[in-house]
Amino acid sequence: MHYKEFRYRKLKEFFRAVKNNKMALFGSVTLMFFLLVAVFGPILMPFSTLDFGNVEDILLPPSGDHLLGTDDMGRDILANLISGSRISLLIGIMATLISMIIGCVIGIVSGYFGKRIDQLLMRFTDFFLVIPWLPLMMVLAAVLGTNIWNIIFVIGITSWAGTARIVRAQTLSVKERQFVERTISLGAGSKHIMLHHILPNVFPLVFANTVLVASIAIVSETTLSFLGLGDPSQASWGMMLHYAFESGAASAGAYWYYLPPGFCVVAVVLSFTLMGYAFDEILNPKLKGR
Amino acid sequence: MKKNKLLAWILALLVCISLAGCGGAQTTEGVNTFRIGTTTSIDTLNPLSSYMQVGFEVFLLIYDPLVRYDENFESVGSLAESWTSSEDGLTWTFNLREGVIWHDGEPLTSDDVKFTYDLMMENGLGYMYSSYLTGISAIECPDEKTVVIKTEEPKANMLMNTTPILPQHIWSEIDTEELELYTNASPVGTGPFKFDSSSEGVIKLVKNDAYFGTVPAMDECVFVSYSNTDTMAQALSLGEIDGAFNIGYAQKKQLDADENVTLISGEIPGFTQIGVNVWTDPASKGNPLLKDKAIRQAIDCAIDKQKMIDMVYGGEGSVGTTLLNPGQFYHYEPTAEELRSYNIEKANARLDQAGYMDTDGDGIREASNGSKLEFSLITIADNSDEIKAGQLIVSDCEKIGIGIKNETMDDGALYDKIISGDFDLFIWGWGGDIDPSVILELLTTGQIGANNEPHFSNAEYDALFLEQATMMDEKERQAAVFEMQRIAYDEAPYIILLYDNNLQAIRSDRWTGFKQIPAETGLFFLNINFDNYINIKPIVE
Repeated sequence: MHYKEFRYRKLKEFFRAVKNNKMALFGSVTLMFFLLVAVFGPILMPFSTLDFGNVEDILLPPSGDHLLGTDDMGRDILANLISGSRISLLIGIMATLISMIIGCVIGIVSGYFGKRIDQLLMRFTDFFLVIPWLPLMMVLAAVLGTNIWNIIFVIGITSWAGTARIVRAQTLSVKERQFVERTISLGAGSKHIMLHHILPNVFPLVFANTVLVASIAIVSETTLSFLGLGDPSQASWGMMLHYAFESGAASAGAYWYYLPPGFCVVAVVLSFTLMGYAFDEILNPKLKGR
Repeated sequence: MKKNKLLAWILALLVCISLAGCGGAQTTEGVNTFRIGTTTSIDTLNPLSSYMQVGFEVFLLIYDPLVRYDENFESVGSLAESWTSSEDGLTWTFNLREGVIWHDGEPLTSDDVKFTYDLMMENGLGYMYSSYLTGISAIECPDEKTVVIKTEEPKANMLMNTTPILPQHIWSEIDTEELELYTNASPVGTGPFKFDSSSEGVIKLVKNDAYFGTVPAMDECVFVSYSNTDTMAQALSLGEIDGAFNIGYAQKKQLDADENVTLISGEIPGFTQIGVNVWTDPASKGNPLLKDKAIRQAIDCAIDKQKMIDMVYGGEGSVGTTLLNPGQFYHYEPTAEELRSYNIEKANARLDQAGYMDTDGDGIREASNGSKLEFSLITIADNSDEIKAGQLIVSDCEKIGIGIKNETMDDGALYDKIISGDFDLFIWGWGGDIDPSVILELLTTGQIGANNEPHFSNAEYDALFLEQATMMDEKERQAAVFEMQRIAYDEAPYIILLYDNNLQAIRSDRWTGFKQIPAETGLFFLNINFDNYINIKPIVE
């Protein structure tokens, strides 16, 4: 069987498995919905943090004019929510990418070379694994300043340690297999082996893990923003919750201000988590029926 | 299963916490305790190094100055019973009250006064009080109850010197190097309240029965700090505290509706401003365009300050213009010609006239050398009011072709940027005093690198500052202070956004005898006067 054809069949199998797995299906559909909202929503319902209303528009309950009411600056909450989905998802996905790349590189290099390099890189990973991530993120965010790229960077570099551990373990197993030995005897270099033989084999695992990291990244963004370390010019869901809390919406009874962003965060995180577990199950046959 | 167990633990913990909370709210039989909620905890109990509002308030109750303000902000004797000044106004003689004793039983003498002033002046300590002492050249103690203060020039604010007097027998024990970091864990003063204990943001004071003036009607006064204004408002409604200051504007409606609570809003000396980097030194890292006052004036003119007050500050406060508050004798009101009220056309015209045009059609004006009128505006990350004000400023400035980018950071980081001149614009505020010198000193050249954040320097302003401090005639001093404010307003290193109001409340179902100081427009607390702490008494059913 040709290599590419084999891959394609695997992919088809994967999609069938997703369709048959309720968790995965629910997660993917929810996430797809939010992705569509994030991509097309702001075009249909433009929003800027500078769209202030007037004094009489402050904290209006949901009505025909404002389907989800208005916030403490007289801004439409639905429009804010839609535009927030773009920022929250962007931060979540970008941070996950950074985390995935760092985790993969460190995991593969560490597992493949072993010995001293492994020792060194794994102690470095342990450091990031045991360090209390929330204070570290807060300190980094405070030092670097609050803009969206810094927040992506901060979340990215504090969440890769788990991925690196998993990738290393899988690399250790893959590199002992016969086809790797054969490639070595054919004269392939380390770079070639790592990129073309080990990476494709650890990738399914990385993929499942990455989806889980994405949910952590979105929670982290919400946490940082809620604590006042978010980018004030970007209306992410975390920033909405932050402003809702600061303006005392909870005791003022303005449920329409804090419930929608809270619900969105929960829905997206849940969908990522469900997908993560489901992918793990599908791609890792040993886990089936656990 | 594991999760359920965790949940059970959390619930158990919450029950414990709430039970503990209930325990704290009970009052001991026969002792009446007045609990005041604040939004900031005290930084240190050492009056030499404290710079927080709450610290100022606590020291006002524990320590006594030579003179205090009464409810009309006239100076009245405190530790000093009477005083005279020489013909030339260069020698002041204060006669101390007989029989004043420190909280530990030692008698107060004139040496304590000399010791305190020398300590602060020689070591540059006592940040909140330093401007009261400037101009003093020598202090003499001819006998135990007489203090003679000499100055080289007449000192206009001599009777506004409300520096707390510290006990020499305690403070002389401390090494000079350790003074600033000394914790002063158990302050000893002569004031109407004695220090009892301090822990985790709670400071407990008890009344001093041996006080020479009126002994407080309350037995205990407790300051409780809250990290969130919403929580504090809830605590007030629930009766966990009996009064509060710095109440959030968002909680106004809720507390207004609470019939057990008397809520007032009064002007507090000081303002919230945009500081503009006008530093002419090459070391300045700010945008050089801001050195042109036309741009600063245009920004001032383009900001809808009334809308900002209505939207962000719950309608509390008044539109900002010059350095001193409108209610004060020394406030200078700009003439109709000078006044920069909200006017987009005027702001646009000002920029057109100064030659800033949008030549490339992107909505942002450019200078003749092509650099864009784009500035960064820094706000303090945990001050949501100022962040919102910053967002309003961005949208206002967009209308006159000035691009503003909001940035937030914590106050320490902002302070470092300010000191090194590495900023364009920022927002924060200053608290003032009855004595105009406190605020006027900010923009003097000598304060560059300290409190003069814009790095503003104006020879005429500096000369007037020194002169006004020596003018004993109020009218004459007023004229000089007016001129200083006119210069500062015209140059606009500060764009004063608003004069803040402070929201304060007292549980009027439990306490009586309180009043606003000054009457009708003033505050219950934070008003450099301690009458309410003395006079508030519990309602006995």
